[in-house]
Amino acid sequence: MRRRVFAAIVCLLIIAFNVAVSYGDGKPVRIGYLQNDIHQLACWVAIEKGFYLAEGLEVLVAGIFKAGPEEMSAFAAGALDMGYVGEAPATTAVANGTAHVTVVAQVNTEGSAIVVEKSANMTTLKDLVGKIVAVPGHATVQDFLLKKALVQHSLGQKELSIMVLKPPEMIGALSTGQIGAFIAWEPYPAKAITMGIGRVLVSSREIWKDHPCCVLVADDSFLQERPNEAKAMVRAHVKATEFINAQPLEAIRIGVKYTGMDEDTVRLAMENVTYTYVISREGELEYVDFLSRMRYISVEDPGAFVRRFLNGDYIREITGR
Amino acid sequence: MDLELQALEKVFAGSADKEPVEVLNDFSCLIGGGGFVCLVGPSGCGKTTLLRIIAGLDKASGGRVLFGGREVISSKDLAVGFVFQEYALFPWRTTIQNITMGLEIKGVPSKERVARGMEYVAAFGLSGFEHHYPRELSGGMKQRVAIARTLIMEPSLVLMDEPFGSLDSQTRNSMQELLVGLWEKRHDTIIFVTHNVDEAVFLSDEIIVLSSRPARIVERVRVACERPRDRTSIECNAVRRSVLGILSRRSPDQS
Amino acid sequence: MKSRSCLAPLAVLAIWQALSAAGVIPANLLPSPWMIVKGLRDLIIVGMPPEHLLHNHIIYSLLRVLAGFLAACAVGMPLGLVMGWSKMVRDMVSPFVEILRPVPPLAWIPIAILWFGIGMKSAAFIIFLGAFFPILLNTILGVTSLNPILLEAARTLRARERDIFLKVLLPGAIPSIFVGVRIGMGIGWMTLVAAEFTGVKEGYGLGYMIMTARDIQRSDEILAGMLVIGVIGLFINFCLRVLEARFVRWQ
Repeated sequence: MRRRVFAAIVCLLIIAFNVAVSYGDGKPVRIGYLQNDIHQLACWVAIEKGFYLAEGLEVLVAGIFKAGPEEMSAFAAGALDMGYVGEAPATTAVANGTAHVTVVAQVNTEGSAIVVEKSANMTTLKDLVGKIVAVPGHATVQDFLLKKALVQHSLGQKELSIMVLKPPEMIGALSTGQIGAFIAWEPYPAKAITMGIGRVLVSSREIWKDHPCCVLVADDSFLQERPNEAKAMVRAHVKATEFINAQPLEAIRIGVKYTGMDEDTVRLAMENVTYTYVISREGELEYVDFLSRMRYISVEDPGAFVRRFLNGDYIREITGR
Repeated sequence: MDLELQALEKVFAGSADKEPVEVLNDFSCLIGGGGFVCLVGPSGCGKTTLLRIIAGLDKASGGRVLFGGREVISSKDLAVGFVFQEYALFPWRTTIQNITMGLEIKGVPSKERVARGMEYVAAFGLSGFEHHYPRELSGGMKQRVAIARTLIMEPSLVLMDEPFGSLDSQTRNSMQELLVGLWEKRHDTIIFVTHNVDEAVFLSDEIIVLSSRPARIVERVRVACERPRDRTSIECNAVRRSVLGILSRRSPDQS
Repeated sequence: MKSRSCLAPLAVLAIWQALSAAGVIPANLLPSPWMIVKGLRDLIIVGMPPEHLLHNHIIYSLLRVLAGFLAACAVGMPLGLVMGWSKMVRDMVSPFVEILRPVPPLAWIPIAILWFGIGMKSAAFIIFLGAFFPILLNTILGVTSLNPILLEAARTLRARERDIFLKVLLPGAIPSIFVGVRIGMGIGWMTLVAAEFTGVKEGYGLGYMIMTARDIQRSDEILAGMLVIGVIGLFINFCLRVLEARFVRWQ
């Protein structure tokens, strides 16, 4: 009799232990971000400052990508649950049906620039005619900005030569004269400046003021199955974003740690970036319109698409905005 | 022109697991010009090595080869025709291209080459096959091409290393007749290696019987039969018996 | 016989299409055969990136491969003939060959970009590296595996060194050289796509086209592009085989 009671208590304890341990636990949240993209500082801050942990989240960095389209491919393969990525590649992937994600928060606005060689005799975009300009990839935010700028200056795309280079290679290519200019996200423009190789010809602010750039997306199946964790992730993101704006010096230190670049570069880079979590509907409509005109995507009902693609509920619930 | 071999020696160097092999030791011989001589002996005795040294394809370890009084050191020194047992036809060349290879090397102009080549094609019964590749020819035809290739150069010395060894007996007999017929027109010096005594008796003026390794001349047997030869004649049989007897005496365990 | 060999691929296509239509195979992971055909049409008419049409991509890629391949022949064949012929040269050069051979052509990309910049030359260099080793090694093999008796036969016909080289070695090695050429061209064509992934100045190239299709998340065009690459590779091999049969009639 005593033995059976003892066995029953042991069983109960084991079950209780497992329940306690697995509650709010289970699989980690797999996230991805872009390599050396200072726009996505909030992600690094959330990791460094333990904001994810504070929400009871176990976060696994499942991928660090050289450009947005690669990260979207990872989503398509089901390798990521949430990710920090450019709005243009995310839009393209969803519109073309390869990935199924939803935007749950903004990450930043602006923060890119067209960089030319320091001593080059160029003052406006028109001086780029006949030159080779590097972009991080087709259908990236930067590709988008470049083409938008060309349209604004009444230049045709054929008037210059666009080639795809990974951002780490752009500064080298600029310094050896292989390309005439590049457009990349911070901190690469800042680095070109602090290295004494390049200067900014046109900043993204001049092309499209306050344009939304990076977003925090979540895989649709993740949102469906684990909405609480998704919300917790957004909460951590909001906290991190507010932290950057409140404590810039500490934010710079974290930026230095994750980019491996020096403090001056990181500080200069961050000056061009606005960190915000408020989703912009007009901004997304603009992306959809332009990507359609570029024939990268074809969307029948842009309004409906944007409504489905952007989900401001989480931000509204957390911040009221 | 006379061929004189003076005290030829040939030692094949040993290796890690093999002893050095002495194939020729103090081999001397004088062969008069214009004759058809057969070298007969047990396998491995060094007949082929001897032939290759005469042709300049291998180098003797000691001794000298003199042809017409001049020393032969390498294949460049001597206009020698060599017929290999394995035909050694250039597989990428047609019959006529193979036959005229030597002329081509010599620099004979194309028209003359073709003319002379076609003569030999006809003489060797290869008409109709002049543009065929070796892989399309039978063994007998291939050997005919090989011999034609050699004879078209009109060498003063022709060395043949068991050329009919891989042919069936009927083809071999007809090839022997062909060869003798050609030789009788020009009387080059032919040294013919074989271990087939019947063949040697049919073909040659003189049979040099060699011992087993290292090769030594056991006996030189004159074949005094009249040409054209009847393989079954009494004289031929007598010579055959004599040679066979010599061979069996030297190596009683070989049949 | 011919109609039967088409049966299996057609059956696979039919099953695939059915599974895709039924939703068993998700479209974002593997487009259906019909979608790939439409992707091919888009590549031809619309282009990827838009206005860069397929036929131009093909031309540029073929040019790059041709450049690298011809360079590989120009260096590999003479070197192979000499290395096959002379043991001394072979012993001297072999160590370098053996160390470089296992290095995948793609590993050379950073160096290639440093030396030749981004563009036709560095892509051709990568392709050269892919094609070079099979051509070299098969040329050496062609010479060393030549029956020595043929060399002796040539000598008895009073051939000088030059005759032996031109009239015996070269023709005798040709079958093996052709094998090397076919393998080299095949590897060169495979390396092309990856070589173009690194960066293409002219804006054209099949590898570049596929990479762009990936950027714009058009899996149907990615697969259509792969199909084009495969078909062209097949066609090139076929042409080489025809050439080979003509040259090696005697075998």
